[in-house]
Amino acid sequence: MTLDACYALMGGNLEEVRGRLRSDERVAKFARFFRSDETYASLERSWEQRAMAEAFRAAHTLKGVSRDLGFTPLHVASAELADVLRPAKEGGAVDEAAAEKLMEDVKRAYDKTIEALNVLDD
Amino acid sequence: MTPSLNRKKTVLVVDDSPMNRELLIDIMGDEFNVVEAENGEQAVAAVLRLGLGVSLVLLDYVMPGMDGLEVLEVFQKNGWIKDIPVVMLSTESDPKYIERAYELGATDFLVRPFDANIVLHRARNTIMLYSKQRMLYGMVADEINERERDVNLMVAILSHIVEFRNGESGRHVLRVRMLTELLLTYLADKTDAYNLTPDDISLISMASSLHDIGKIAISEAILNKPGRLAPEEFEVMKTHAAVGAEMLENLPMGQGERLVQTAHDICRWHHERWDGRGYPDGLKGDDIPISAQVVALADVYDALTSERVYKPPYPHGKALDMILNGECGTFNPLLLDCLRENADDICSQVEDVSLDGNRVSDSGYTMRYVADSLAESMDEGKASREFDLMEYERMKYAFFAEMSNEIQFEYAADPSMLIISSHGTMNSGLPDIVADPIDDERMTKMFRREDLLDLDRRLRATSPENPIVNLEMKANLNGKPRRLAVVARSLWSEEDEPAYVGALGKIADVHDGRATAQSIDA
Repeated sequence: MTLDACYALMGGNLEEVRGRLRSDERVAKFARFFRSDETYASLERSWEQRAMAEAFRAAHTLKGVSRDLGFTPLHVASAELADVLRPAKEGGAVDEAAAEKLMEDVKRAYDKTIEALNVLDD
Repeated sequence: MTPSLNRKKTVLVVDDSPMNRELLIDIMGDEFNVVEAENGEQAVAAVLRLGLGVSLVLLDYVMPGMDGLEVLEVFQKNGWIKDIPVVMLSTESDPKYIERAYELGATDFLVRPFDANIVLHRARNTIMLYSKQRMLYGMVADEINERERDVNLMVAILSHIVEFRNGESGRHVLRVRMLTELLLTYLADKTDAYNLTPDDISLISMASSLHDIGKIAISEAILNKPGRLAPEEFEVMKTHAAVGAEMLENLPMGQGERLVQTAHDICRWHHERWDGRGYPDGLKGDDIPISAQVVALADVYDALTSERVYKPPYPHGKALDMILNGECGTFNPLLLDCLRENADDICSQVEDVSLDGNRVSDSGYTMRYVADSLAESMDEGKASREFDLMEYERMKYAFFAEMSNEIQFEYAADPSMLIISSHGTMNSGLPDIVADPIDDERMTKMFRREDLLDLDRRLRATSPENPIVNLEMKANLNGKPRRLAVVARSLWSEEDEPAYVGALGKIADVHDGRATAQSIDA
């Protein structure tokens, strides 16, 4: 599948990414790279262990990476999750119910993104 | 030209996410040599290792362990931020965080999402700005040095002309100047009574070259008379002090200048005596300006140790004894203390001037030097050449360290961090960086904790003057007990009251004999 079709499937913003990263090869290289990136796994793991500071860092990284690559739905969901988890950075309490719901949003967006990336031509 | 391994500028990318690092490498890798750090600790270690070889740091904020702001704090505390620009990588828009980063010296922000062109241009511009600033700094410093060199040359020529009539070489003036500078430096260390700043010392030393200008008014018959002067001839000779001062008083320009004023005082009063029995004014004690007091002592010391038509040169020790016994006039006791306490130093420094006496007369060389160094700075920046040299030195050092059978380490006290800069051929299994080494399990598995505490305590108990610690400790190297010799040197801040900031040192395996240990004692 082409880059255009892949981004259309996940609801990403390819044109904006093309403008910033300057070449389709680079966009495709990092889109494929994302399939094996550990950040989401680290988010799930730390959330399950309720290691909130670590979960915040992972959500924050996921937000940055998905923004860079124009994975819009994943970026929106992870940005909201990072905001809710942020107090943990300074050792504060986290609204777990809100985070729980946002974790589900992130998971849905992540799965959809990966599904689209998996059908990208190698 | 120094051999350089890599002409590309080095950019240090500090980010805990491999994707982020990869993306930046992909964008910048063609143009820059990118070094990666996964966290704050590695970033600090990279700068310790590469120094000014790092041209730019791209620094993430949210990281496990030491975060971006904490890294900036270390940069600020170590003064790195002045020389190495830091651009923050950021998805944060919190104004408090941005404000704090700027406060700590961050040059700029790269706000996500990354735009390849903006990343490249910002990296180029920031590096260019810093290297231009460094180049300008170097050029200005070079210019000032050259100007000073030219002024010194003019003064040296002038005093040489005066001495030329005297049948002397001009070395007397050079040595008096050197002695004046040394004595004033010792005096300023010893007492605040005269408020001597480094600037004063340099001014008085320069003005000392003019102490005998009045001698151009003395006839050559008296000036060069072999043997003793008749009393009336001596009276004429003595007028050189007041005449020199008058010449400066009648100078049509520069009357308000400190150099002229200081030279005047030295000319007029460099034959006064502490007990008031000198000439021309019979001033006593500290009524004699300190500039003239010091030049008087320097003048007498040099006269004693130099050959004259009427006497051979006395050796340093003999000249010293004569002065301290009061055979050559009376002087400020504080100055005599300075002379006595630094006798060896003075002797060797004055010898050096004598050997190198013709260095100021070669004006052709000086002018060529000015022209060359300016051309170099304009060309591509001498500063960058110095960095190449540093890079080369580092490469050489790293090579020899790797070939040796020693572990070489650096230790930063705050934040407490051990950096193994070379494992040598000793396979210790320690990582390159260990935070809080005394409490680190990998360390305490190899060393006894009390030995580490002992080393830490001993290093802290040293002083900037005596920074070396030598000790032996037992260790467990790959399951085998070994005897290790440690030699380390403490490092101190440059504040008025130096604080302990860390140490560097090496560890050698001396289990199989003393030969290795002795080689590290050297």
